[in-house]
Amino acid sequence: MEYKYLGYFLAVIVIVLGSVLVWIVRMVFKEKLLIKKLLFVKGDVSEEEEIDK
Amino acid sequence: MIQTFHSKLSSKVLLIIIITMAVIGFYLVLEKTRIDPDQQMAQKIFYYHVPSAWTAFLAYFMVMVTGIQYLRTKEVKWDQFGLAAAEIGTLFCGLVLVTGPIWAKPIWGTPWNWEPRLTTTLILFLIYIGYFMLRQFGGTPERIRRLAAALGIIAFVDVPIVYLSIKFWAPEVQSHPQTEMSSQPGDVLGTFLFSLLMFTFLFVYMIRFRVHTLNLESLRDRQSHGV
Repeated sequence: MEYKYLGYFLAVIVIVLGSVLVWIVRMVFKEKLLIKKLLFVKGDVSEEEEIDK
Repeated sequence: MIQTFHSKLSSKVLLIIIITMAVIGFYLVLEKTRIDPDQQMAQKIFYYHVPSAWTAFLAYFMVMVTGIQYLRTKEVKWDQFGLAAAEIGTLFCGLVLVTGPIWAKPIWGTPWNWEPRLTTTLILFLIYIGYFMLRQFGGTPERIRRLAAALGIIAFVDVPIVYLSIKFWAPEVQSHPQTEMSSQPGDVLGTFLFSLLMFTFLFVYMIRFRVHTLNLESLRDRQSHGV
């Protein structure tokens, strides 16, 4: 198998998958933060505990 | 009870399907597709670059449809779908603009030239930068939603221009490969369609996740205003 320009190909893989992964992780943290804020306003500790599980 | 996005079975299943398809797709691209004698491994960038463009166009199509729906019904959910699609479309449009020059560097000898498709894609990206500026500085929430819907509809005009740009302009300024996908051999076409499907599933997953967080944001806003 010829591997000429392999570096360019791998760079694209890293950039595409990396960007999507960063986006997903960012959303997970954003969601977690929003839920915490919502539960803090409600003062409902039991629900927060349930989500942390 | 507030549900997290990944506590839903459908979200988990979709994520597992996407991860599995990504691994299989990578194997197919690397091992099961032929190597172009001129472009070598750089040609395989095509399996990620073109589906990124497809996803961006699909997202911008959704921005247009949801824009029409919002102007017709004034329901906030259409605005949320539109905003989610615009964000995801711009992410993938950015990826197109980054991965294109990575392919072009070894093949054209330069990462960028001002040929029609590159230029119109850059214009599309810049229109959506304007869209987000409008979202940030457009005035009252109702006004922002109305203007964003209108801009989303108008911006979609550039999508067919990007696609057809290689036909609009004179052939001597074209640098894109002018091959028909239907005439490609089975291994290339099959892997390309598989990659396209994987990106489409990824788009559905991302849209659902973003709309979920937008719903939480509006819930928080309502709560903080005591509504």
